[in-house]
Amino acid sequence: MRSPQLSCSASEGRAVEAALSVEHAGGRSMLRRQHVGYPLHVTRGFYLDAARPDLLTLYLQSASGGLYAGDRIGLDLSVARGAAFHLTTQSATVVRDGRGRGAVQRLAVNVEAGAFCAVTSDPYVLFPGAELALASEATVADDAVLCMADGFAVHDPHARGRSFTEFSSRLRIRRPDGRLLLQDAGRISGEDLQGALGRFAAAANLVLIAPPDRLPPVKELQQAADRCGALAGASAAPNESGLVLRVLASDGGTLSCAMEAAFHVAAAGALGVALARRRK
Amino acid sequence: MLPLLRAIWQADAAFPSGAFAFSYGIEGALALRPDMSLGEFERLCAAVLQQRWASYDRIALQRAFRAGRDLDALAAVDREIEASTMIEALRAGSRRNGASFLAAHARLGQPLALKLRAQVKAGDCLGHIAVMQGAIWAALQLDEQHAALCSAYTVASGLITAAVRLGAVGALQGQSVLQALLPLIDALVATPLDDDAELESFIPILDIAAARHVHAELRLFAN
Repeated sequence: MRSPQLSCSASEGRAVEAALSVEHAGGRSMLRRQHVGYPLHVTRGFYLDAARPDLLTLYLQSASGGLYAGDRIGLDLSVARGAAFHLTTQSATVVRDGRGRGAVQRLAVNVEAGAFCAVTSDPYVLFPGAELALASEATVADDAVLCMADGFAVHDPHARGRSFTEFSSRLRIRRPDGRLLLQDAGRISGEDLQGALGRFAAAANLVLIAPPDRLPPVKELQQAADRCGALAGASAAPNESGLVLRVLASDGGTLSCAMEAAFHVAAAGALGVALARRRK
Repeated sequence: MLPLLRAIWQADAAFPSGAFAFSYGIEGALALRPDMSLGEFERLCAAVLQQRWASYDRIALQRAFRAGRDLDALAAVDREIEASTMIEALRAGSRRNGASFLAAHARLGQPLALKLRAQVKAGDCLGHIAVMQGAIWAALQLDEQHAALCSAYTVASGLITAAVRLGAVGALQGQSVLQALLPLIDALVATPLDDDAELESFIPILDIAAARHVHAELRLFAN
């Protein structure tokens, strides 16, 4: 049985503006400010990496079982000078029927000098009728690192041949002086999926913004995803800003595996050490 | 009739625009799927027109067309295309195709082409094909809608020519696909475009094919 809050959210949608600020203090990165409301929830901080004991990892969870029609979720994330932070999700996020209003997830990230920030989400699972818009903006200092990864998988639980309505994504990354490094925007409707994805049903992107000497070999990034059974293509990103990886997979599980493998290659290149597995 | 005649001239494969060297990712896609059926090939071509040309190349073309001879405005569109093209092989291909297109018009004595070529050489402009086409076709006094038709048609015919040259489809099969795509081109060009429309592209299968293609040992096309 659904809680009253969930029933309400499903009909009206929720508007949430969350904020997280991470700073480096006392030899490790710490959550300095946290403002997170329902339906979002963050776990306590974990320090999972013996090779980088300063790196703070948080898991972002949805307390409501996914995204619903009318949801407007915003998150401002700030990683201060020299801090190291990884925000990831506990599991895939289900996106329900958008009922003509859809769901919007906004993310703004600021990564200061010398900082490392990774925001890696498990795939959004697009149910029939789902309509999701992702809008992400990031500002990254010249010597900072930003790794962002997200994607989607299609799911028709009753196999009635219904697809999602629309998925759109816009990522814009700038330097602190406003210079545009890259912008990656696209949208796809469920009915046009086959032409854009071929035989696949899940797609994701990983973008790594880092100085040239902190990038993994392009082919290594691609092969890490390929080894999981996905089809990946890696390339130098525009304006010599880093690397970009596109991944296609037959299902969400394969996609998750590929993105996790790619994240570890990206992080090892950027940090110079291998990170521990993020248990989920 | 002269604007229409100029559009036909520019869409003609005999014009040395340099497009013959580029497969728009089709060579890589066919390498990934050598068993691609004619129907799947047609769907892929339609996806390129819908998911890349209509929401990306067309917008750059229109902005450049309307920028006229404003070199700063053209350079701004060019920079945005550069920042928005994620895959290096497609970025480089677009710049090289644009350079060939400019070179042909410069040799024909087109004054704006001469200026733009100098801008590209100086590094003030990058020379992406859709931007150069928009600028030069405006200077040649093509009708804006004819310029859009010309652009979409050259993309479609370029995909098909590449597939024919790769031996993936026969010459007549290719023409049947091109014929089937004409109503789609017509519909896409007839769809009004907002002045503030943003560049969008979503066709990951071709991005991946193009990214992987650069590592191929044997290639006929630059991308």
